[in-house]
Amino acid sequence: MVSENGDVKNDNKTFTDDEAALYDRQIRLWGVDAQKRINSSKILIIGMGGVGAEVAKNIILGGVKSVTLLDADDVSELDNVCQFLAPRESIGQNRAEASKGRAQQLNPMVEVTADGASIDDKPDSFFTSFSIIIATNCTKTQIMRLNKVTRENDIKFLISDVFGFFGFIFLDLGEHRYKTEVVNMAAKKGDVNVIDGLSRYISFLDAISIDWNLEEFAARAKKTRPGLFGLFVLLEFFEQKKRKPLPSSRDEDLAELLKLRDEFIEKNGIAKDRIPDDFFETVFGELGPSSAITGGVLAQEVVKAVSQKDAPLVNIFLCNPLTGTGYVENLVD
Amino acid sequence: MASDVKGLLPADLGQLVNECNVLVVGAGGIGCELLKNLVVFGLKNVHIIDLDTIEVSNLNRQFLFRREHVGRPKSIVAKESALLFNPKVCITAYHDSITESKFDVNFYKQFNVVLNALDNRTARSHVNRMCLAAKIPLVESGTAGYKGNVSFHMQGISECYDCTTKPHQKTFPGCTIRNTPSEPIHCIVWAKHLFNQLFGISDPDEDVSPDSSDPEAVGDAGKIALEESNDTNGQVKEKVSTRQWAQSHEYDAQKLFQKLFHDDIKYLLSMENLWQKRKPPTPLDWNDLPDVIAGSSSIDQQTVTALKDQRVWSMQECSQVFKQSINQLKEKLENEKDLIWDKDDDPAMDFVTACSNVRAHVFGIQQKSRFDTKSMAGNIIPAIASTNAIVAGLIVTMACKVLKKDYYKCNTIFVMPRPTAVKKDLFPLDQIVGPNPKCYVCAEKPEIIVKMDLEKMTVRILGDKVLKTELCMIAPDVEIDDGQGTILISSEEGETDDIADKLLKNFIKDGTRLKCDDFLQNYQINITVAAMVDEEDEKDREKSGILFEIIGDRTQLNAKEQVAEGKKTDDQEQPSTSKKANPVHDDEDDLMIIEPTTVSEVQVAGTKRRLDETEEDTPSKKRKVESETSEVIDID
Repeated sequence: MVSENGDVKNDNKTFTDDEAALYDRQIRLWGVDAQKRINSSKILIIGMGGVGAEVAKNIILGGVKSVTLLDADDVSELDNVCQFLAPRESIGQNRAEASKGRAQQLNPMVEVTADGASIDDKPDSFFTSFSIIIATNCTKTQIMRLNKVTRENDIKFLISDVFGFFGFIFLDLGEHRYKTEVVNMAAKKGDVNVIDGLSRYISFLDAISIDWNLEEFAARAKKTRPGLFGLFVLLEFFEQKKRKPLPSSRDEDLAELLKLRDEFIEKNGIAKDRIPDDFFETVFGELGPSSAITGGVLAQEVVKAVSQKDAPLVNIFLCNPLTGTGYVENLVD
Repeated sequence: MASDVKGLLPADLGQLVNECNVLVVGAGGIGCELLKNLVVFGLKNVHIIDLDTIEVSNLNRQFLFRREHVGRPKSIVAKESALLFNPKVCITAYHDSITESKFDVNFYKQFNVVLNALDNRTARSHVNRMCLAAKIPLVESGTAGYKGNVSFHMQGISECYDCTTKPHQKTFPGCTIRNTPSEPIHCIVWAKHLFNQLFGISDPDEDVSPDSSDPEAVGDAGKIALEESNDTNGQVKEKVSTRQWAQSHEYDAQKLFQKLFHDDIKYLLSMENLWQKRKPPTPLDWNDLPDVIAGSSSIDQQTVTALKDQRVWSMQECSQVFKQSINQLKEKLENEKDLIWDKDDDPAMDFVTACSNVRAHVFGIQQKSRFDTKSMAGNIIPAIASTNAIVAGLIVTMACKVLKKDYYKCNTIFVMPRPTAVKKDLFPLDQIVGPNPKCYVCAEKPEIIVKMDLEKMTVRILGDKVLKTELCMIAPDVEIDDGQGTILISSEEGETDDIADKLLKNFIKDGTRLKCDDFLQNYQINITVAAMVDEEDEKDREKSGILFEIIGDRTQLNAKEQVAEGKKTDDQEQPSTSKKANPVHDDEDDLMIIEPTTVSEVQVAGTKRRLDETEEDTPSKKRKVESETSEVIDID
């Protein structure tokens, strides 16, 4: 049984032969205890775009207790190029509802629920019944509200999205304790020691409020690869337009992005070459391959967060497979 | 499709994606994710090939398949499921082996790029050679647990798949397996050999009876003991096969048990030299089995484990499972000539678990649960959907670069379980490495030297173990370079059968050159034979049962000999491919990951076990290679 904040109270679960056969290959990776915790976790996925569909697939296959798909948007033509859960003929229907059927087929042992409401219409109490909340397709305002609820209720919170080829994951797991195995070099070969770990996180608000003019950050701003600041610009675009940059309005959106970029670097005293123009060339719509990559990493972080096994990423993952990068920025330490 | 939405892709890429034709080899873990990505991305023409059918343990990640599909061909179901995502693409599915001769160079030439989503070295090597011959770019990939990689191979630009040494599965000296096991894996390997000896195709390399020629036991009472026991209690004579013995006793479980775990152990004990520095084994008696678990202080049998298979069996239980599984296997043998060991076949898995545990008990080695035994015996590589999804996404983006002919941007990408120490890369890149001029595949005139024991190796072993297993040829022709064109091995069925079981010394000698050719792979290689003769070699080989050893070229052969003279090392690193080994068929979707030098210090403490420690032995499908030549390789 899982308490409100996802702690596993009952360790005596045994797996049926069916479950043992189905989850065999992953139990061999992360062990039975991790699988137990996964099996009792309740996940909320907000936004059923490409990355939402990918993470839903991965964690439903992984065998969580329940997954709630929450999305007020309708299926559009753009979903067909990144989202495989909503059937092609469902354009115009609610995206969560349209995705539910195929999501459920992935694993009949997981309770899959679709909810077509907007997060803005949901009371805070709605969110507190989940072990993990994954937010995609959200504005900064929405993210900050959710993050406040997750911090107050000790819920693991992951924010993610894909803009064209560019993808990101922001993690706020609060004070996250985990166990990890370390090979004991001194002992007999193959022996492992289990050690306790602790990862600390900062809130989304703290991360986006960093003043890069400050001495402690300025040196870092000079070394940072384009992804981090590019992400801040893209999030600001989403905040203002309530949507991603789109291929159909490519020219005006690109101009807007460059304007926001200029404002950001001006305000933070950052050199222009930290976010070159060409960063924004491939950020339109949401592309399938990047959704698969970001959704894959996101699912692994969800598994680490619920299973409390192995160190999760701290605290931002950034990826553009076209330039061949997938790396982590740590704004906590 | 991405290519249909204006402005979503750069114009040039959009057109390429629209017009290209790609081949996906494998519809397993990576293959399912890849096919989904390709059709959603909007590639119009995709061919997919896979030999396998769907199993329950696939369903946690091969998401194009569901319970009702179990038993159906992967490629066909993958096509049906993927078409639902995008009915506008044209998918051609083949339920077939990629090594079939109909998939010849012309078949490959229709594609712009080949995407490998395979699970074994032989098939990977084969596709590599076909792509080299057809001059088609290849994107290679693999995953194992949280790790993965994607690499690009194109003649003249980057190294080919065979340019680098592939990690080999670990093999164990015959004497360790037969006489002096000290780890659970030794007992498991022994139990699998025993299965083949009793029910399958026996391999002279897989003998399970005590080895009296063990150099450690030389001059020992062993020989006397052998003669004595032969007379008294039915000890197997060397000429009587284990299977014949079992048949003559109608596979009576008690008699088999008594022979394997009592009489043979007593015989081993008589080789006293072996036990001077080792803990001697304790023979077990069927009628007086201890109700304890070896190597464990806890004798609490009632401990509830979350998985039924994780409970370690007592000797009593082992003997019951031993009996039951033998009866089941014996029954099967009435309808089949030879059984093929398969980790997913319950009686076969039960038999190996029971036998390895009893043997472990006899030798005071820690016992293993059925769950753990299955990992080791079945060479199972853990697999999850998310790593496959990441790798498949990286394959598509690399394929985009290949289509744009941006070959020099196609660096090898690694997927790591945790970010690298300095740059915090989760996906570190490696340099693009040019072809290895000494590659035994893509060099202009590939040449290698093979040290062989001409006294013990047959023509068949040369064909099966050197050419097929080590050099990954599918249907080799071998001609002796003696000016007369003497054929040693022919790919035509039956043509050289009459000499297949004759010893090599009848045909070749030290210094003989062999011209080897695989017509389908368009691959020729010259082998220079180096006879294993000197005393040094003799001792080495006895110790580890090596029949042959592959050496890159003459300079490496010399270097190796110098080292061997100066200092004896147990595990000399081999250039090129190496010694005796069975084909590495990695279960599932994996690949052996060669980590980039930049990240090698970031070791993976979190993974439960190292791959190279667990890969062992010939899985079932290799047997198929020998029995049904039409289905050579399986593809996950």
